[in-house]
Amino acid sequence: MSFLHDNSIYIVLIITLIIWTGIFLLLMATDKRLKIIEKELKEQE
Amino acid sequence: MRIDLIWKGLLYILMSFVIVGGIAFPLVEVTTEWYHFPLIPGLGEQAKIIFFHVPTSWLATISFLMAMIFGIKYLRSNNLDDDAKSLAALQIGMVFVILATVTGSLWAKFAWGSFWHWDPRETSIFVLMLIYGSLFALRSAIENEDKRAKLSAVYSIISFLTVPFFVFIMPRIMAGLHPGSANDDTVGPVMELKMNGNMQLIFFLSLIAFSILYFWLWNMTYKSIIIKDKLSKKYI
Repeated sequence: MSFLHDNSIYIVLIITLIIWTGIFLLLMATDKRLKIIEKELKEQE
Repeated sequence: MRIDLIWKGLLYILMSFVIVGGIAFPLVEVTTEWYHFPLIPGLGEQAKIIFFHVPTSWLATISFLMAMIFGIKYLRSNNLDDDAKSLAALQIGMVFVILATVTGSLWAKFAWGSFWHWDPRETSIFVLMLIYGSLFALRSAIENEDKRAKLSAVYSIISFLTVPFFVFIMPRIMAGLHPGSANDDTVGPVMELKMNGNMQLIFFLSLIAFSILYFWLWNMTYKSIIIKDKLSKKYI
């Protein structure tokens, strides 16, 4: 723990990585949803 | 589907690596290990902005280029899908131009002493934002969608003609503080920054990662615009 306390840039790094992972998962979910909507629209036509 | 997953996985890994490298790799005066960055006098840790700020402004340029390409395509095909692609590129380009300006302004506060003081680079990006911002005003002012698409395509072609001037030429021929300005004798032109091999590696990986991210966002945005148009035609 004292290592992280002395090198607090790694805490910034971990936080940024978590945020990036969250954004990435959100994009994945949105992409998937969009594909489903596209498919449904095609079936309706 | 499979190829999709490969691209997304590659993007995730690349961007994670760029974040790890760009934030945590140490700056040292004499580089000995492969992961060391050279310490640039006067910049210090602030030099790390290059891994995130330059790709955003690069992508803004790319997406304005895409907007022009699909504008030309629309004028030739009269297919409204091309207009949706052009609009998606414009929207994402606007987001990235704002990101580049905000990150640059934050950096300027600590490197130059104030958030905004009309450096040639700041002035040119401001004019560029005005030019492209007015395109959205133009689009929202016209109801007929064919007319709107046509005018927007022509405007995106004309306004892209100013992009090379504002992004590449004007900030370089005028004296200023931004790296790459005409009187910049400490850092040199942008690409010849005192980067070592490792810094260049992270920088180009960052460009690649941001480009993949851009095309993904663009793909989703134009698809959703097309779907929205389809639905609004169906129910009116």
